[in-house]
Amino acid sequence: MDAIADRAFVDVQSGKGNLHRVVDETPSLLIVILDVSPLEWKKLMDSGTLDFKNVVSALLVMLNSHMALNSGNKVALYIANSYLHGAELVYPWFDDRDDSSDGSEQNSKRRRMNADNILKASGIYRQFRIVDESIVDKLDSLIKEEPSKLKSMVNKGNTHIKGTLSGALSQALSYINRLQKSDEHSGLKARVLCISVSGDSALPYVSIMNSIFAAQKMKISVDVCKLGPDSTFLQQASDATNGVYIHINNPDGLIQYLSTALFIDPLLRPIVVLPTNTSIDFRASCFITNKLVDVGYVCSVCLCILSVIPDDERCPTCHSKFDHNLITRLKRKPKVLPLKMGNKRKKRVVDK
Amino acid sequence: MQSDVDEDDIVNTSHRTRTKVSFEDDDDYNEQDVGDKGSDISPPLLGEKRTTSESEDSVSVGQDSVSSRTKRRHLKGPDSDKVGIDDSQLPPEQLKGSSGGYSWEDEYRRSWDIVQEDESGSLETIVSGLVESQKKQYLKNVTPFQRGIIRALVLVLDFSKVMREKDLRPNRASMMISYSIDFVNEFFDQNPISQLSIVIMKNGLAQIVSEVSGNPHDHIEALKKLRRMEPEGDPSLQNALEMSRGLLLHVASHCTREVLIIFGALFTSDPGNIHNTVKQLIAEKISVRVIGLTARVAVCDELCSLTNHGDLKSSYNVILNEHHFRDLFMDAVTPLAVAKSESRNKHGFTLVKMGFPQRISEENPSLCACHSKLVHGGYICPKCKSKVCVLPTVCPCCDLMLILSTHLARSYHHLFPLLLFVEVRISHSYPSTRCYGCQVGFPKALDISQKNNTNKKEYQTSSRYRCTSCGKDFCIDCDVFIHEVLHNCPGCESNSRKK
Repeated sequence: MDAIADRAFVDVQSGKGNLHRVVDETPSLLIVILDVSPLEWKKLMDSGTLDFKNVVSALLVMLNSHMALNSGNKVALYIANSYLHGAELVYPWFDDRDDSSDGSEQNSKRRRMNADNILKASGIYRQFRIVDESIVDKLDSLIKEEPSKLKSMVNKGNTHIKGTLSGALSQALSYINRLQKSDEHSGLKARVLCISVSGDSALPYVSIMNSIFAAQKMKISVDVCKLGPDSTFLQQASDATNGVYIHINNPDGLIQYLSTALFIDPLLRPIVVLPTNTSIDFRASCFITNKLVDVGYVCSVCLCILSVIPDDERCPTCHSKFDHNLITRLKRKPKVLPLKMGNKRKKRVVDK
Repeated sequence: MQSDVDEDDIVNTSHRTRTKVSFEDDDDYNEQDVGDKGSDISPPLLGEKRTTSESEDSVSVGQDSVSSRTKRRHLKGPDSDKVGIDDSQLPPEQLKGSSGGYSWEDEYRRSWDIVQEDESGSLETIVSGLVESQKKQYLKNVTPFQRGIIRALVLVLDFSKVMREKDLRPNRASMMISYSIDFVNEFFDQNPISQLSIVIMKNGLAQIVSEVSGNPHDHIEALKKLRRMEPEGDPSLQNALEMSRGLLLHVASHCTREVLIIFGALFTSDPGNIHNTVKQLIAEKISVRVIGLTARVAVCDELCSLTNHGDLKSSYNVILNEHHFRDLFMDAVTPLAVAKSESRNKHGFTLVKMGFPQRISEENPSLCACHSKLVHGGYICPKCKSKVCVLPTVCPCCDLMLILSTHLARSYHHLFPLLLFVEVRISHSYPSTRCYGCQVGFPKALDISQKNNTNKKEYQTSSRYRCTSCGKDFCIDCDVFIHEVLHNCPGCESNSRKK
């Protein structure tokens, strides 16, 4: 009887070495991916439950408290699903135009002024201030520019957004990979937190799965803080990587969630019972209709998942021709059952 | 009838140079492995044709960029330069040494001779060149072949007395077993819906170590038990092949049937005519791969070329050293490409009905349908609502194949391989200053005012590798990581608009 909860306690009792490892103070890296898809945020803000400002301030508190835990701790923030930038690294911010020192000085001054207006706080610990300032400034400029960009795109009739969460995740993983391989940060523990507001339709299936497996191989947990509609893929992501998936119904208490359930350090994972849901929807999406299916047909050549048998008996992805006899057999089956003379026909199928 | 084949009859002239392995050898076998695998392989079915011969992309891009490999050749003096040119024309390149003769006639090459100081007396150039070229070795064929993803494979291990030899440390048998365990793990990691079985050749017989199953733990346990046994007697290829044939007989038609033989001996002691067995294998479309531990054997040559549509290069290889053994073993993890002739003969591919169950957790344990054990939680079959405890499996009630969609997704990168990145030529200015993946800074562009400084590392390569579809630049570390682990281009994924 392997109750899911029991394991954790056994681990603590059985090995005292484990406990020792827990107090080990290896610095850890927290990467946050913030979904800033403007359309989804508009929907959420209109419903009156959620405010972007509140989410960002809760996020800043979380980032600051992560840095407060250990002086070696690091944070990074990516944005995803933006129409303006796609996926992009917001913090740490690398400024490469070092030659124009005059301009950059002005720039930082402007940034400080701007951030001061929004943060409305003085006398913050310097490390926190650097992080808060650059994040607030970047997000502020993003919010200002995004509507015009979106409008121009809509005017052109192009509203398609590529699921850039996978892009941000890919970038985050390669960032972690580089840090972990470098001499100065070797052994750095890392985890990723996705604050997601968009549904599954915005996610490209194959690339999000590739990122999940990469995270799994690198032993990086992907936590998901889900605002808005539930996401099957992100559930699977957190399940595969031993992360936490929380769908937040009361966004007012977001800061509570972020600083407790979603704040579990990688070192503590082995001994903490994760506050995640154990019932997970493992349904896959159909490649043609994009609907979620529980029983589907799988092409033996390219493994694409189909909810209906295509009329031309060809795989829509790899164009391989299916066996005609087999298709007719698959198609005939459901017709048989509800009829009265079903028994006779069924026999014929079996005889074949 | 026991027809012992005489050792001399079947030992081919080929020879292994286990002692003389240097950088050059390593390179050669890699070249050979990645080389034109697809001579008899159907054209890419997915997307446009992406022809990438490894020599074009991986080695040097344009004349300006001094690729690290060519650099190395230069360092080895005029003799080795000849090989660089001749490589492609001599078919059995494994046999050729640097002087153009057989490798055992060759001079002993010391790996430390490669390392030479540059003009300024620094080793940095050569060392970083070596490091980069080593990282580049992952580069493989990225043509999207149609592959047999759902596989059934029989792993045949030689467990005859020759496996006691100590030329591989600690001896051949134990090294083979530890590599096999790695192989099983990797195999199920990348081919989650495939099946495996393990057979050993011992005392002239074939014995089953583990039955055909999709559960890696069964196989690994069986292999661990095998560690306690001593290799004995003679191997029998025919017996092993016949047994594999039997094991693969009931495999469904949409699976590929494969046999992978680790063959340490130079002979086989068979009860009958092995050629008849080979004919039957061809008829049943079983493809056989062999990894030789000693030397090429004629009967294996024939076996592999006949069952692989003449594609001997990828199907029969002899190891050069431990590292090469591992590489060859791990090559078998990648699913085989479907041969053109094979796909033409078939009257169509199969469509498999599969269920994607939901996972539940329960307060009180209930019986599972597959093992009749009391378990907390499990997976619910979407068709008949019975509970099973492990996936992938076939539902015991309604015979529906149950898998996780994540299992399927694991194989996708074999089918949709990511395009290789191209090395950016050295120029006076670059559009990027940082790697798009990890944000590490790139070396600066070539400065015209300092022409004499061309020896410095940053002036010999641009250190930028560009994705051809999104135009973003990446560093070598990210390049390797993206192609080996991630299989996703961060740049392409990050574009907010579809092109």
